[in-house]
Amino acid sequence: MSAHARVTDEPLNVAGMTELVGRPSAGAIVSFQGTTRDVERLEYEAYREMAEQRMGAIVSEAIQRHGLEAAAAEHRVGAVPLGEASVVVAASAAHRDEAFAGAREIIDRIKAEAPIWKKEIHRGSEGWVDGTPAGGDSMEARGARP
Amino acid sequence: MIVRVRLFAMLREQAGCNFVEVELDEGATVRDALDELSRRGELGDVLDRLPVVMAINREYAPEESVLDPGDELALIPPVSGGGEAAEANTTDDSGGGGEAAEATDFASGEGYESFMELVGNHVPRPPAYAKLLGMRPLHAEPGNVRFEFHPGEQLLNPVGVIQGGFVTAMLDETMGPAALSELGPGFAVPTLELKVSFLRPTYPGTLVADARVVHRGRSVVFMEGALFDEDGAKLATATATARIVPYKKPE
Repeated sequence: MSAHARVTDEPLNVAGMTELVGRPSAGAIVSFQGTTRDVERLEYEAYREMAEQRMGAIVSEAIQRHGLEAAAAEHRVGAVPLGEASVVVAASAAHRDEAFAGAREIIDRIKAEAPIWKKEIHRGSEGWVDGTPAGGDSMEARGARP
Repeated sequence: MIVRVRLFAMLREQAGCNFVEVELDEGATVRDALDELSRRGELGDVLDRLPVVMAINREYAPEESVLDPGDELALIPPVSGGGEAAEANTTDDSGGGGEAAEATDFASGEGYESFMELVGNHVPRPPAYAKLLGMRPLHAEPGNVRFEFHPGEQLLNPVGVIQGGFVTAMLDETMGPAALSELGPGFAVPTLELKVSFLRPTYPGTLVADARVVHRGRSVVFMEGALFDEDGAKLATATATARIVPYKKPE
């Protein structure tokens, strides 16, 4: 299985993900971690079933488009304290160009398309982070039209 | 019929529960459900304030989609997945507050799929400025492509109309794909020359650009395109010539 996507409550394991995408034919493995910064913690909420499905599609499409050997993405939900990873992406390919491009595309698309929301908690105040309109063809921004 | 709609994040908090049930006529669409929810008020003004979209059976659905009581429905407020909290909070490459909410996702929609089919998935990811122009594919067939644009106020010149370079970008961004769709996979079409006539001032809103291939030679391709406003008024026309070269993956 060359594509892997998961939403989990557990802390993410970048070493495990890197191992997961390793292949004898892969000369390059790129891994990316998105970490909480500048606030005490973030709380993530996901439409879990859809998020896993969307992430799986994003990973599979990146494998095809960039000719990756394998790729994987995991997103954490619940509280993620300062400095810990909320999302990990790993991509392997024969050469580094494809691995970098594939990993980059996967993280960019997850942020734009996976139905996952985050709330910032800092010094006793909290608030949902303004996001981007969810990726889909129904992009009629309600109420935002002039 | 009664449909059940799942709620997440700020919508779940606003309603105080994980789902709402909505009574709708048979054949009701996503738009009808959103209008009804907006009217009922238990979601406060969130639906009017934020670009909320609906998912049907775990896929993003256009507003024209017809609902079935057996569907799994969910309201999806703007997403903010991934890490790097502060970045996601403050940066928005489309630049301008409320207008950002209108940015559309290039990599979605029937137009994109038919276009990708035509060119065989050899096109790199959509450019970053696709978001700035609020670009969305509407239609693609060999030699003819149509895109929708939602330019925002950040593209206005001091006189209050969209600056001509951005109008040109919209036409160029439609004529290029028209040529690619004609040629099929494995080609790139660097522009040799491009002429634009600005017939009327262009204002922010929903715009549609239509482009087609006029003539395809062995080594060059000729295109024409036009930009229309929501009411179908022609705002600008363009012609362009491009070289036909083999597509090479960017280094």
